[in-house]
Amino acid sequence: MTTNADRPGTGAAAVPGADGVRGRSPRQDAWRRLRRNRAAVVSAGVMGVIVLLVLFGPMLIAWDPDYTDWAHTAAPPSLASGHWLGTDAVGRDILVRTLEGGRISLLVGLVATLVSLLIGVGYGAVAGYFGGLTDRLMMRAVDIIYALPFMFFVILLMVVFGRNILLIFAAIGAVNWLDMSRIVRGQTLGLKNAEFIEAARACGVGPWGIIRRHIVPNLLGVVVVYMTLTIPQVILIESFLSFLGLGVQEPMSSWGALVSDGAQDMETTPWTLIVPAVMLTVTLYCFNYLGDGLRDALDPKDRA
Amino acid sequence: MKARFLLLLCLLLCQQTLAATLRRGLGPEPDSFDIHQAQGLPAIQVLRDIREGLLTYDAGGHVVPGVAARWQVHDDGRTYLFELRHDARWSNGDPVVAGDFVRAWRRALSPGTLARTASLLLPVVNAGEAMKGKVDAGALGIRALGDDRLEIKLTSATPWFPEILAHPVSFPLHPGAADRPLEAPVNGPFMFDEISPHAMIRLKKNPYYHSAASVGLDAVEYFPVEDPNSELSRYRAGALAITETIPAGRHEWLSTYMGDELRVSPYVGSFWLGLNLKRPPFKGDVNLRRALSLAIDRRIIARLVLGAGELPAWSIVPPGMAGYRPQPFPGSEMEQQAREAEARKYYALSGHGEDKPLHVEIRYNTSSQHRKIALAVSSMWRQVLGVTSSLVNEEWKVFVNNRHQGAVTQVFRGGWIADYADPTSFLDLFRSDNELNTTFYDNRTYDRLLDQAALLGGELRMQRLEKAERLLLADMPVIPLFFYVSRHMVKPWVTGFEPNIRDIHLSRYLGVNKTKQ
Amino acid sequence: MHGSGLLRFSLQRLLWVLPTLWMLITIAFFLMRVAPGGPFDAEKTLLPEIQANLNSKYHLDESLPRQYVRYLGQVARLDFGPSFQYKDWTVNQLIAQAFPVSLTVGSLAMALAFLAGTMLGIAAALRQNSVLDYSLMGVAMLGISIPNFVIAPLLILLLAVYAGWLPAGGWDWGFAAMVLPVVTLALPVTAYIARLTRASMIEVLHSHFIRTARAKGLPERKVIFTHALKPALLPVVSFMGPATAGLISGSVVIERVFSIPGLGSYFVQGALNRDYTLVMGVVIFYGTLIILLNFLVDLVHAWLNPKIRYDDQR
Repeated sequence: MTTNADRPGTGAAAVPGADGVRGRSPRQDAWRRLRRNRAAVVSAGVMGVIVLLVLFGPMLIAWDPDYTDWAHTAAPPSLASGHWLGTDAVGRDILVRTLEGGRISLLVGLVATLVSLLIGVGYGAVAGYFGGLTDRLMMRAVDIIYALPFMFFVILLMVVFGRNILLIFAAIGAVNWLDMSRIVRGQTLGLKNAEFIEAARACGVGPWGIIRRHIVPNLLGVVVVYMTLTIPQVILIESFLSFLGLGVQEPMSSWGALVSDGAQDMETTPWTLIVPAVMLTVTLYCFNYLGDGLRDALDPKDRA
Repeated sequence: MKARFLLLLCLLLCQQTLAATLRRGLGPEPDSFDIHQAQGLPAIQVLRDIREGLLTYDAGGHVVPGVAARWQVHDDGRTYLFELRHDARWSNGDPVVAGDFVRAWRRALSPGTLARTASLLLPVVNAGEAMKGKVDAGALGIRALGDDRLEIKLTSATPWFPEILAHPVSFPLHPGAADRPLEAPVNGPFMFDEISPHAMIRLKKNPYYHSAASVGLDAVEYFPVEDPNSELSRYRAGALAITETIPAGRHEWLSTYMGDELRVSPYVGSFWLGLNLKRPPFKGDVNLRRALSLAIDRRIIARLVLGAGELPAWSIVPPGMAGYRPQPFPGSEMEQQAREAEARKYYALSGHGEDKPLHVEIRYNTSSQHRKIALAVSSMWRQVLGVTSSLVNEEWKVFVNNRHQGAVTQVFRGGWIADYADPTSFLDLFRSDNELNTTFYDNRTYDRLLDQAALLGGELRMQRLEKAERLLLADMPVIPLFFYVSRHMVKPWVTGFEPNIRDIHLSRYLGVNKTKQ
Repeated sequence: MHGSGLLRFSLQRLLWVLPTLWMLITIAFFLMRVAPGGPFDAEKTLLPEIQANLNSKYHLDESLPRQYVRYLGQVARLDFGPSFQYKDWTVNQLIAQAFPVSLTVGSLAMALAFLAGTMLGIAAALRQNSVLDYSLMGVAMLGISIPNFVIAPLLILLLAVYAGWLPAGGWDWGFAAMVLPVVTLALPVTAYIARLTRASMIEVLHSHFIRTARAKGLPERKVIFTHALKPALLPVVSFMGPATAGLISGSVVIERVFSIPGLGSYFVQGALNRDYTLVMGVVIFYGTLIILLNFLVDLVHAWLNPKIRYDDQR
């Protein structure tokens, strides 16, 4: 008979005990813990505000992100000019561009991370669990792909298939899963010889069942933390691509592109750097604390 | 430990006072130091410091004698007779002889060792045939008449040919080690001392140079720096004395805070937006082309987007070509409002409007400056005409390839920096048979005008060329935007740096004034 | 068991190196050739004669499979060919010059990142949810959130241009020139490692066997460093392989901003310039390096985690 501690993530509601007290499921436990984590809650709130700003802000602001105000080029923030956070070198309003850029950046973070998550976790768990030749072959493949110049992959993809923004997501995600798979494989190697896995095997659960129901949920902690590390990494990769001129194409922009442009002029027009950089940093911070909160909340070992 | 440090410091300081070294920024890494392989400006700049041709430049960028002591022109400008200096030597002491030039040119124009820039030598008799292998290299129009006399024959009088003799493709080569450019003997004011790729190229004074006494520096260190921002930082930190350029958008700040170190000068370069005449929407539609050209406010671009003193361009050939009158196209004298009204008129004439809107692609290679220009142009077209555009940023190789093929380009960044200061350097680009004609402009009348000009001389020639340019601008295969300027930061204790239209600053004229350092 | 298992493990892994390398070369070769744009595309397009000459000199006019076979032969002799872009040099020469630079910067950065990262991570884990924890992780997050093409010019501005304490770039193997690039390169990795270490450490500290150790009355120091550290470092070690390889190939941004003549800039410039031979040379070099590093990482991983058996059979 397995106890709750060895079968995490099943979410089955406990049967009320003899004294009528309702038990708590691990999921409810987790939710409670999350809510108690103040940093995580605040971060979620801030994220919410940012998402709202980014989605609805551009509609409420007078300026078009494309509009070049020739009377106010490279203008510092001022209420008088109507450009509350200043303009860039060709007179486009920084506030509206930053909010628009946020749409792209958040989209990149989300989609690319999901891609890398799906591929990486599946791949790594399978390789780690099956071990032996399968593992070696799979990890060889990872080595090969990793050794190819990432830059080059993306350049090639961008040129051959066009500068589709979805392609940027796919390209980044497709390269990023490698780290995820390695870590997951490492963890799986450690996990697969644990007693509860042996027990499950003894019960007759097949390898895919074990992977799905026992290995993967137990990886959740590390995967969640790694995911919150991946999102900023992805957004930064996109900014790096923008730095080389391969990211989102004008007139679309992303925080990465805005920051990379602003960094060039940080001495002359610092607001072009500070505004998007602050947005970027705050967002990444929030993902971080949220991720931490999730990890603490989901930690199956932490049973009081 | 401290004693050792002090000793090192002493040695460094002593070295400073003994050796006058100039540190210059170079821009991208040079592609090759073989005079026949070098194509990019960085390599050519270094080559001009370590080697010398028949002619060279003075501090003000004018063509002056180099290895040649004097020369005569015969035969209506088709034959050049050079008398070489008797004190011209290679860095190993051997004298520079006429045969060194002949050997080098044969190498430049033989099919097996073709120079990248061999097209500059096409005016020479049999040059084209030698390149294709149709004639032996010995039939080339260059002959050594003894050790100190050289005869060059051209197929037709080419007024700008002397300047080619100051270009590395025409430099002489020592008989030994021709294929090892980093070790071969050189005949210029400096020679290689140490080369670390991507890090530094160190040159030291060549004691055998004929005018070594007038060379004020003991060593020159070139630092290839890709990023202009990094270059500026290193300059400000004191590691460089001269920069190759300044970062885009920094001009105003620099002229305010470091104005006495900023040197800006007009440059023989022209920037335009090329239009692909082989494809819609520009094929056969001169009204549309004129509309797009008039809708752009060049003054805003020059002043706000660029801001380093670039001149708005209403024509192709930049000012400063001796004897040539600029040919601004109609509309240049109008007020911008009136120009925009004209633009809308032409736009309507071309059949476009609200019910038939135009959408174009503007292509440019990765560069902060080009991006800003494309954004500005795109915005102006939208605000004045309602034309929407997508901006396509491509890396250099892909960009150049696409431009060359002409299969996908519509509006693209174009321009030219002259190899020699003559209007034909720009106007020849639009010949219907020119490989570099990325607009695919095909006007036989234009070609004929250029051919006619080639047979004329002096004032008549200039008039014919001006007529050609007027014809070109009436057809508007490109939209001229601005004329380049060269920008450098130069420390106040550097002497001899004279801004000039060719932006050539040979190290032999430069010096460091230690009292000001 | 430890010794012979280790040996067998090593040999098994080494056996895979050659086929892996071969696959790597092949994929990279064909990918490079498929990309549009060629090594000789330049603004001043070459006369057809010159173009043909160059193509034949570099064997670009032969069929693709022939070029491939020719290239394999060259690689077998460790000859990576001439560079298309930097015509006075062979790829071997360029790599030989660039690699020590990247290696130095990369390994110093990695060492710094590992030491600083693990120390910060452990400190934060031990004082979980305290002010120290939050502030350390806050600072670490800053390292991840701000791209290095912002930090680098900022540091140059402050420390080199305004203060004049350090050079603003360039490379002369001197200590001063190394400081800024190494620190800037190390910052994001330090942050990652700190976070990873903290998370992993916290998990381990909550595990059964640590509770047992504490219950047994072992001193806290012993609990942490003797018992908790090794398993806590497992995910960090997994991360080290790819992280180090990435660093060693050179952060392109760092090398560009600080003008450091390393492999990373050859990597990107080569791809952009379609310098086939240079890119291939760097890719093979990089690939070999990673394979070796992964091998080492696996060894260390196995040493740290006795649960993994070398002679893993299913």
